[in-house]
Amino acid sequence: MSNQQSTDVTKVVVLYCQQAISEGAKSTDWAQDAEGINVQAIMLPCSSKVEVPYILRFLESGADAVEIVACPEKGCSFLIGSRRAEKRIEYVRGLLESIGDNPQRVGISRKLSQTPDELIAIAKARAEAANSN
Amino acid sequence: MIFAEWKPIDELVEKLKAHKKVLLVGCATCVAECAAGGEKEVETLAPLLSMALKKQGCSVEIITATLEKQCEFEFVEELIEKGHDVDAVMSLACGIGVQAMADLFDPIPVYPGVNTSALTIREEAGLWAGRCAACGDCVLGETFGLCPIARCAKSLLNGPCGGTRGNGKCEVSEDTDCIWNLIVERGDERGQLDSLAEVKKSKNWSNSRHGGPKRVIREDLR
Amino acid sequence: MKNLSGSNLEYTLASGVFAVTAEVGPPKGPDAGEVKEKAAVLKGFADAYNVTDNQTAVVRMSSIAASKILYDQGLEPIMQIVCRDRNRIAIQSDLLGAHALGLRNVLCLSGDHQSAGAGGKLNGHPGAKNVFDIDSIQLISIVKGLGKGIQESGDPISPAAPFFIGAAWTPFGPPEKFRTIRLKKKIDAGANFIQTQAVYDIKRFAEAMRRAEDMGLTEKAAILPGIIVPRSAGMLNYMNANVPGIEVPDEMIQRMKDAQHPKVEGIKITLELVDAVKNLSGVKGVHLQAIEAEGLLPDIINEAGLLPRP
Repeated sequence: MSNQQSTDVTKVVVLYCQQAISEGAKSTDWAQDAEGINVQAIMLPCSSKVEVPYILRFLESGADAVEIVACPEKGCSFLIGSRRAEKRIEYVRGLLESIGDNPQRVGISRKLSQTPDELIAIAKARAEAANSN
Repeated sequence: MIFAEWKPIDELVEKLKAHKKVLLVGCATCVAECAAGGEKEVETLAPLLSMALKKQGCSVEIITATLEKQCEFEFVEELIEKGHDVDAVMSLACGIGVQAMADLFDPIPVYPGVNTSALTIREEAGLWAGRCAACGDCVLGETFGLCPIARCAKSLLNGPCGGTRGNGKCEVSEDTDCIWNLIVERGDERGQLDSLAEVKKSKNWSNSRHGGPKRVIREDLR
Repeated sequence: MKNLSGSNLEYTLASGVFAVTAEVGPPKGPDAGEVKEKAAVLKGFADAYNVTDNQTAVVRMSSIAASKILYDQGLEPIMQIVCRDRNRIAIQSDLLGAHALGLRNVLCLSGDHQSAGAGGKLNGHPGAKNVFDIDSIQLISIVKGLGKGIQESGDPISPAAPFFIGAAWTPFGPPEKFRTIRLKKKIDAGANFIQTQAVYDIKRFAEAMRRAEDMGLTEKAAILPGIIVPRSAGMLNYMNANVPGIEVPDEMIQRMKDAQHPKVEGIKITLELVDAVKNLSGVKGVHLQAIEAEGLLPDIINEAGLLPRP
């Protein structure tokens, strides 16, 4: 958990939809450029592939935060995939609250053509939110 | 299906706190359908409980399994090996599954992880509603296939109470239909309202739990 | 109607006098004095007094005990029984006890669900287990049976315990087309008198009465429309929106809103309503309520020309 971490580095898992990013972000190399945070980037065919148990497993096994990068509501190739992902994030937030944890450890961003810089900024913002409680 | 829902996490943590290794067991039938105790819920609850227990300074190892059916001993027996060194079991099955586990794992404590609360139908995605109360004396043949025992807050047999809201909903909840309003509507559509005009006598509840624990023997199947 | 039960209300109705009933809600505590105080205010102004049975699912002094207190003060109680809290064993036992104590009128109701808890104003007991072993119509049958000397199970009792049996009618509740049929079921089961949910819309009530009359129900049971004294436009609005089966015409709410002295206007409206229902065919009396203002009733009953009571 973030407040028990001995190092200053915040571990952020970014699960991103391959449809939601720019050409330059297709490889996960961008994650190495993130300063001050440790980013584990995982590309998915669709954000709806992210199930609640995966998110919790990441948090339990050492991630401080998890961010889903998804397509906007109308831009989803699978129509309601990104909406599903959003509902799951809301559900996980409720679960975190139920154990007295910071619900901001998980989040979702919805925008098309995200560049590597934007992805890093999203990961940093999530790390900050996760550490804010 | 049998409907169940998670107990409050605090209550579960309280039960598991003092244990070292816990087997969390799901069931792939009813409780999976109602998204309370299937494999997905087991794999969600396990890390959540681990995190919650860690927060309280407890180190409890949680291993998981999901049985095809927790209400039959043949399936439950599959777990004996996997659970040989656990000091507690938490079951996400209905009360039937919990008791099957408790019989087999005795004297290891088996805790329920869910509250079993109704016999429901899934009306739409993410919406379940009660349909049967296992009353032991089915009246659906007289109420046009709509159950006044399970679906009326007062289990009335002779028509709606005075609590029906103006919009046809139940006095207990704005989201619940007054089932008698629906029974009358359906009867009216079929031109059979008269069949509801007869006074229905007091019900015999003795074929349900009220008659004592159920025990049925069918010699032809033994 | 023959007077079988020994009820004064039964006698009054049988003799053709326009009946008046009122309500005495038992206190939330054990003080008999509170019941006696209310009794003293209302004594002589009505033929019988409804004693509620844990209404809105709030625990109060038992209907049977409060009825006995009224009885001892010389008021005739109508003991209300709801099906929420007692099964057929307990209810029959209480009925025999009530009869032994001299109580002769019973009003049979389903009862508010235990989640009601005084509409959220009190904690109540929403976690209680409800009973509903029988419904209000089956309860009527059971009371009727005791009057014939037979318990619900068929076991005989001797002597029989005859009661004058009442039931409720909510003519405007959905499904409206069934409400008259349900009234008929209650009367078929054995109801002798009917008290209705509060009536404000006379036109609609007249139509409902006509339907009941067409089915021959007004011949078989005495119908007493309920009237709750309006105290403010807000109260009428609240009942119109929140109390199932109560419908208040917009003009009446507006009239209360426009009134300089709403309380005086409310009494005027009550008197007009009493007058209107009196002239409806099949109406045999009126059930008057002034919620938390019982003191208003004597004057209202007097001004309505309903005194002296027989």
